[in-house]
Amino acid sequence: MILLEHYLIVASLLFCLGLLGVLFRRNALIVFMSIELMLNAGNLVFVAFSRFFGRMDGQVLAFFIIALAAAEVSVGLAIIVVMFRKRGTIDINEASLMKG
Amino acid sequence: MDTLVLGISLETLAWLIPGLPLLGALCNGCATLMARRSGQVAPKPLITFLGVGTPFLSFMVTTFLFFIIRSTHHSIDTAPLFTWMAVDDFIVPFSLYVDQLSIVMTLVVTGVGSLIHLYSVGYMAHDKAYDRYFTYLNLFLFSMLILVLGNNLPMMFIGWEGVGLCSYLLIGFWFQDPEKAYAGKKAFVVNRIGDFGFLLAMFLLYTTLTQQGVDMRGGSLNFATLEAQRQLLAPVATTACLLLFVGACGKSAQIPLYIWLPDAMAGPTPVSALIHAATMVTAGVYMIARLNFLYLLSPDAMSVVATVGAVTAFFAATIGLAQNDIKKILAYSTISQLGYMFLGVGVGAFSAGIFHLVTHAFFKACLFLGAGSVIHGLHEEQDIWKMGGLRHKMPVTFLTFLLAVAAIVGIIPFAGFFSKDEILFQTFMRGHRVLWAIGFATAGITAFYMCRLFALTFLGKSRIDPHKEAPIHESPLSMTLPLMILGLLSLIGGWIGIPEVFKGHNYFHHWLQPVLGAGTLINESAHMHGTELILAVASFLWVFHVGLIALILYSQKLDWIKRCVKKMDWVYNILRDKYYVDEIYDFILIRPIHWLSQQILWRFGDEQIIDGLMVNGSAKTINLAGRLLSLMQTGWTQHYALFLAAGALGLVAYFVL
Amino acid sequence: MTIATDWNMLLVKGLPFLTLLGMGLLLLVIEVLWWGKDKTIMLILSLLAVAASFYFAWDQWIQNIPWSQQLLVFDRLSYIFDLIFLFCLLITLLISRDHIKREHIERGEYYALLLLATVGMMMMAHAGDLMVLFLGIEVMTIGAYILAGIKKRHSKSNEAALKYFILGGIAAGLMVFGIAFFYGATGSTQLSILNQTFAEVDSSQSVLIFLAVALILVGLCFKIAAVPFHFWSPDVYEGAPTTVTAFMATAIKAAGFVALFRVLFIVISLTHIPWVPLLSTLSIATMTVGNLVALRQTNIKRMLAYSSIAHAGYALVGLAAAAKDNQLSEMALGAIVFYMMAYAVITLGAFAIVVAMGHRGDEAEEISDFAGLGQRHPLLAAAMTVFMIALTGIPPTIGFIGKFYLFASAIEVGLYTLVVIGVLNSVVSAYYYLGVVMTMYFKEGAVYRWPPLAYLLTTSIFLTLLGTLYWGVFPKDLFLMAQESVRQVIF
Repeated sequence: MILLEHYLIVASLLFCLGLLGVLFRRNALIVFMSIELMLNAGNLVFVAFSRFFGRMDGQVLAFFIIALAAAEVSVGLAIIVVMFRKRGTIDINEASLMKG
Repeated sequence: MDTLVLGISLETLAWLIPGLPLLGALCNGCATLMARRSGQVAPKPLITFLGVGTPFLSFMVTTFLFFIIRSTHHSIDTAPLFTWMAVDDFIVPFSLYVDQLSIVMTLVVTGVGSLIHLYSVGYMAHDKAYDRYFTYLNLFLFSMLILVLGNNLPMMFIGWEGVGLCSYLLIGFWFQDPEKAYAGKKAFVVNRIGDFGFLLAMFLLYTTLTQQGVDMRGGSLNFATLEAQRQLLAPVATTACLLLFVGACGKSAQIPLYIWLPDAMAGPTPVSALIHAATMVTAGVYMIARLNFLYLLSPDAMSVVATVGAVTAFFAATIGLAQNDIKKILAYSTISQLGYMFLGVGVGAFSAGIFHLVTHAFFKACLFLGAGSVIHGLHEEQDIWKMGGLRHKMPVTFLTFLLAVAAIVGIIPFAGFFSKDEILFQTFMRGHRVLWAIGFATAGITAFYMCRLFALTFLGKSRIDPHKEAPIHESPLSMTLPLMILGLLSLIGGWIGIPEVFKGHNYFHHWLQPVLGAGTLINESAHMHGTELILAVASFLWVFHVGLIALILYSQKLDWIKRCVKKMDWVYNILRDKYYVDEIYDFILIRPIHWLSQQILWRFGDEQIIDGLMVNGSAKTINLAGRLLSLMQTGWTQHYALFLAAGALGLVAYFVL
Repeated sequence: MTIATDWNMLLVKGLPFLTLLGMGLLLLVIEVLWWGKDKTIMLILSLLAVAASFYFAWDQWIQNIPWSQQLLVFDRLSYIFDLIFLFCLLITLLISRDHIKREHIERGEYYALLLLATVGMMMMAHAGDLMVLFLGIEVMTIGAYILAGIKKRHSKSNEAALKYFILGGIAAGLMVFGIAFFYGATGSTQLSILNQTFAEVDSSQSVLIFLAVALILVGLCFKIAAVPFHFWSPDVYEGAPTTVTAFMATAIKAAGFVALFRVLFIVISLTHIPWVPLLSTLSIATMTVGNLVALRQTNIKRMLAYSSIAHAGYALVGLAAAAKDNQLSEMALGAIVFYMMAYAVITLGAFAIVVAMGHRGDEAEEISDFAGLGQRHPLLAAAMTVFMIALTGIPPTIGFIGKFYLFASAIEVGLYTLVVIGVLNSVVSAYYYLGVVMTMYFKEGAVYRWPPLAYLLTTSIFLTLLGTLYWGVFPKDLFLMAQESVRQVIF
């Protein structure tokens, strides 16, 4: 029997994985994917609770977030493209002109 | 308020009196600033037009108002232009009060002021800072008029401070000379001591009225309010009056705060005439007359005023005996004459004090302007021992100076005779015999040193450097015209107050009666006339003979004088060095304070503790912290993300745990 | 859950952002279809939309008929923030024209994105539901990502966008996760639901609630750049085009605060949480770090970025004062609203001058570029002096009044330590603000050609200067307006 708790644990794991990916991967694409992972962990929580409550509204909210994530990623990819043209790399640690 | 021609009311006219000089000051100031920006001097005709025109217009308005008041016998209390301060029940409206007393003062200020402005055109013609000079002078006139016309103590105080500021600016007008700049500073500092007393007195009066729960919505420190509530003020009257008198001592150069006035002669001579003889220094006398209702509550304070006045008069006159600088002598004579005025108001003869103030403004301005004319002609020579025989070279100056000397000495029927005699007579009649004796003696000394000055300058043989002598000439008309007018006034100015004993009507005293009250003069009854006549004749004979002796000695017997001085040189030296008062102040006040501030407060307190430990120390600490914190901003996104995640974790922990 | 909607009412109430939304979309269409090179039309249309929107928002503020449609709420608080956003947008548009021309970024998107980002902010101000709040944040932020990186040829601009994007992404992820748990704990994403269901929350659920609230707050603190969620802001502010920085420093900060209000109004009733120490700590950390690091900056935009962090810290002083007694007090909230206005006016003015300093090829972003401005352009230097004085909080400027109200509200509830630290921070801040003034007047500048001030730029400097001084002397009406705005807040 798969309970609500299991969904939540999986979601939390996904979220942590995403966070760790953002913190430690240097490739910008992978970082973006990790951010997606964090957002989708949220989606999973929504859907799980929605199912738990026996209502549909949480699942609708998940769609909202999917749409937003898509918009965000398209902007993110554009930024990476510009960065690659400019510097020839997508290593995010290369982008450290400004500090202090 | 009834409207006169063209919708202009009397109130508007009243506002015009100080408003016009202010306009002049503002326009001249702007012109000066704009000219300086482009490194030039503002166009002279413009400056002259504004600088001299506005005081004259103001004088004409004042004259007009004078006649209005004369015919209606009503004073003008203007509606507030705005409310200057309104804190709780402390309300200070900005409004003017024109009554018999203030209009007299205003006439003197604008009248003599205009003449001196005119005189300055000639005197300052070649000065590089001509524009700045007129800006300051107009500003002074504005401040003085606010002092005189303000209808409450705080407004009087603005004027009081304003004239102090202008005085400072004008004494130090040639500030490139450190000695002159120092003189300005000295005047300012000494005046501040007096102002402190003035401020304390205002606080005292206000708190007293508040505690009694007086309704002060019309203006907390209005003269009218104070006068109406004077019975409530009786318990604090002595303290308040003495504190105010401290202010008066500072401004009007009385013992012990007189020391700034002789040094103030560092300014241009017209300034000395206007500010340090005719108008500003008399502000203390005016203030006491204005607050006569308050002073009458405190006989103790009055006797202090009278005593200080008499002693100052005598003391300054003796110093005047041994001075050699023409302007310094006049300065000490001013202090001495101010002493007479304080003696007058101190014994309760307010109108006599104001009368002497008016006549003094005429003859002292004339003396100073005459001295200025001499100095101007002799190319900045001020030592009377290097003058002599100028009567042929400068006939107009000579004649007008003669009139003024006759006035100050007190020869019948010159202006000074009536006013000074009035004061002495009132002193005598009120039982202050000692003070009268001092005043009487002072009159003789005055006659002596004034005639000495006159003889050394204009009579006898010339002692001027031969190569300087040739180009000496009479001053231009813009300078001699004011001299002639003031000389004439020195002659006839006293006739407005001829007492009945000389078949006069004592017009001046009747004029001031509505303000100063009927009881301020005791000479109207016929049986006093005998005493008055005896006193007048005695003092006339006394000054006449002393003066005559001085004239003869100093014009004919110079060698004899020099021998006498040599024999009595210790007295002479004490007088010449002004009783060493400056040195005593320096020793007991200035040096200890200087030492304290330099060694303890500055070297230790300021440099070590405040600068070293607190300011620089904390600045260093803060800088270090800033450096450490900015190290966290590495520029690497993932570091930022790490901090963010840690912060989020912390917040979650804070909430959940 | 049914939502009964009065569409007419919604249309009328929502006119302020519907106008901007329509114009933003229209501008995108025009950009595609317009073949001419001159983009003046875009500016004019944007300004028209701002004017119309301003009118509608003002009208609604005056009418003062609070109405809630559950997803969106319409009360004075939301409208006053609409007005603040619109003012920021107006000044940003005015200072933009010259700047984007010389930076070669004058495109239709620039205007459209500014308008659409403002729509996002307004959604935040009107949010009655966490999901709407999140949508608003995302709409605003995605616009801001693009605007920050719009100078495609500049590495710094790109870097700014990248950093902003990654860190913003994390914040968004945290927030979504939090909202999801909120949904799980209460069965709804509606904010007001918490008030109704809180009584029934059992202990297992209360952990969920706390987790949710914490994560949502992290997302919001990120938006207002509170320490330690502030790291993005200096880098992004420095890299973004100056006009965009001005917009971000003022409008986005204000939007973050109104979102924080909306959330705090509800969650403040979670009495288990010691709010005052939390907010005080955040406030102290924020203003201290902001001010200390600002001391060391040589780039004026970066300095202003740290200064904006510090000012968020001051505003948090007010929030800490407001959170006393577990309900937001009107006076402190009013003070914060007033401070937001004050800060927006002054900072926009300062940025307008930074824009005015630059010219083609040299943006003059270093503080040393201001050297000698006192001689070369006295009026501009005087204006900058006023703004710096106002940021320090010296009378007679609106900056002083704003700080005065904030600190007064904190003293009212007895947060003396916080106020003392706040005042000490103001003293520290004087060092770097007045440093700019000193550079302008006492340092010799290299020979430098000042660009002629274009009239739009002049207008914006004049407007902000007028506001800074006028409201600094006569703050009463504006303050009453701020107070009125927080009186009847609905959910």
